[in-house]
Amino acid sequence: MPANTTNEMLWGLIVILVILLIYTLSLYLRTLSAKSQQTKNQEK
Amino acid sequence: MTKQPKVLGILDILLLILVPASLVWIIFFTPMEAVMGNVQKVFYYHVAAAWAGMLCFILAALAGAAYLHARRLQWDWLSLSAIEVGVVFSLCAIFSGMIWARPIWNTWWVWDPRLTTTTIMVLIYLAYFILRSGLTTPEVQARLGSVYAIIGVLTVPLTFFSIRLFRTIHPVVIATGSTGESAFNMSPRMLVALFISLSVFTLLMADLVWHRYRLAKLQSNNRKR
Repeated sequence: MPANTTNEMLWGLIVILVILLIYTLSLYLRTLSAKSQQTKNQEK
Repeated sequence: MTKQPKVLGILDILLLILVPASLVWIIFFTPMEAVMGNVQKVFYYHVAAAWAGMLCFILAALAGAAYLHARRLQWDWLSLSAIEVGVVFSLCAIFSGMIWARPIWNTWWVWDPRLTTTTIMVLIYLAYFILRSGLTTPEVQARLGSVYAIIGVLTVPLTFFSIRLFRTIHPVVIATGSTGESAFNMSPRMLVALFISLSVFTLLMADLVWHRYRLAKLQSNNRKR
């Protein structure tokens, strides 16, 4: 009889997806900020 | 900023489909391991994340070597991007491994050779960002960053082969010959799930490195003005 470890499976997969999601979000926000800086530089 | 390449857009959309699809495949269509139960399924993403992380560090070293040869900042942007993404994937592997270890080893963490070398590898690459932040000009950052990336990549084979070189309780995934006994005995459906995860994470790695590279290029152009 296998051990009942469904919760641990879900947590393990969620942790990976959340880390990747946070990184993707940070990448998106940093790109937005760099683009807005570029626009400001062009306006000067 | 130059317009986003079409291939990158297609890759983004493809990954928005492939990542959830691989997750559904792992949860619902792969068999449950006979002893560990469902937690073994973390293994597919855990291995894929570790693989993507190591691939990033190798890419960073190659880009570093290319920078030292050609002295073009584009190579440094690639090296920096690969290291940042590599650290993220390695952290994914470490944290998911801890969650797997809790019910299987009855502890979150042991100072096993594989876990220790992985931690050293991540700490060495985190120090790369501290090094860069202490340097002022992009050229010096690129030169020293490249040398650091080339030296740092030595931790990748050390981490990969640590389970073959030292006594360890960490499972061996890819094993032949004398170490074959301690390898996972995977069924064909498990192997398919592993192959799917490895492919999806390799694509995800390429996508994230590409986006990070474009950001590095944009930031560099902003600094020049």
